[in-house]
Amino acid sequence: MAIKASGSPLSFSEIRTEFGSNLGSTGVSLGRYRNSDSNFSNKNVGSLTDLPLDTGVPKTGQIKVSDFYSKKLNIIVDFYSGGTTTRVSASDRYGVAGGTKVVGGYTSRPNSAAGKRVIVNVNKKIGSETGGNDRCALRTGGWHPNTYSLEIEIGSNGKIYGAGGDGGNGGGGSNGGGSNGEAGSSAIGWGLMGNSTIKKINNLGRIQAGYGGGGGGGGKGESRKSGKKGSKYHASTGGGGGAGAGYPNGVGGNPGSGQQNNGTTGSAGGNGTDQASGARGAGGTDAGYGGKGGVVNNSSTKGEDGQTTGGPGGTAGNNGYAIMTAHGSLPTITGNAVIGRTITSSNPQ
Amino acid sequence: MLPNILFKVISNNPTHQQMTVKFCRENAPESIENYETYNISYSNLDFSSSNALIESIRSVGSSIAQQQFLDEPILEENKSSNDIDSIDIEDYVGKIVSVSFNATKELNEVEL
Repeated sequence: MAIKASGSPLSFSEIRTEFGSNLGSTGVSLGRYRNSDSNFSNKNVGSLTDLPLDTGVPKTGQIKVSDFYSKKLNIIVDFYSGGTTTRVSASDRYGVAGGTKVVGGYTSRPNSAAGKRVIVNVNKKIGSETGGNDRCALRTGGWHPNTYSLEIEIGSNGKIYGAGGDGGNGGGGSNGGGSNGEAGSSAIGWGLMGNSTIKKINNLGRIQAGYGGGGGGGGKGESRKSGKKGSKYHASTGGGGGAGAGYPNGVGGNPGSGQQNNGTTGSAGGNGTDQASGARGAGGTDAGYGGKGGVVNNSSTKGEDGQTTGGPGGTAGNNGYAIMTAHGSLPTITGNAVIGRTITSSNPQ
Repeated sequence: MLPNILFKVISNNPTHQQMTVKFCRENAPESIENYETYNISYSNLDFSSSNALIESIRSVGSSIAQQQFLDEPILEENKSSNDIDSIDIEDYVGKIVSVSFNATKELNEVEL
């Protein structure tokens, strides 16, 4: 639990219980709780610098017992070290040895975060996976209902992406239909946090939804008379749909097969990158183009359907979300705006 | 005489054997930059000569440019009035009438 609010005298032992002893095995030196003290550790963690023991605890100069009323242990969850990763959970990382840093460094991470301030620091790339809009790159996971606060601090190198959906394949030459594009997935999934009242994201990096892949274009086939000779069947195949933006990157759909005579084969749809969706795949002669991947902005909801010609174009995949939350409102967001739509009262996975 | 087709290669991706291209017709009402980008696989192109390459790009783009033409929106000012069932020219004055580009009926013979 956090230290009590003002109103009754505060003892050193209450401060020690929260923040750990910092003088011998059981002693307490108030001066050592200032982050300017040489014994103070973990004041610069990941992208976070000059961290105080808790908000309002002096970093230098005079420090007194009354400065500790309502203060709580600050624990940083590490998503800044190591390389690019996918599908992570903050609560899982909290429980892993070496997955956290305690500000001050005078005590070890408590098993329960009840009454504590938890700061998830992201300063690397985290991607999701396809398989549904609800698949999130970074989930908050399950926390003690009385966790004081959960804050996600994204540094300038932090990038959280939903996965890009693949484009649908083009339709076959005999008026075949294009296949559907794949849905993109989501970046941050915020589960229910019980009684915790503070939910914040400070985004100095990038939070981006995964965008849906375009549908494949329809194929086109028809018999045409050629002079005095009999008619010939000419078949062109549909273009592949462009993939959606996100990480992992979506792959453009393949053109259809079954070109005949003067018909031509379509082109594959463009592959997606982290931040851009793939272009339409050109259709064969008179066949349909594959739709482009979802346009990267906050208003688009899906990729583009494939063009219908002889055969129907495939339906585009839906975009994922920049933030999905199980709560009725979004967490407080500061810094850079998120890229992509958001949703509340949902069930992030 | 149909207008020429314009194309502009936006990017080239030799790794994936693809390029992206924009197309429009020469007398398009908008800049080529405002038209959609298409992915074209190298396998659809003829690299035997520059003329062959350009012709193969044209063959991909011709139906795209044609579709752009067909998809162009009708200006509000050009929307036609209701059909007029009259042979009195006065009934047509000041009205916009929409008819099919191709003939739909045989014309009656007029004796001069």
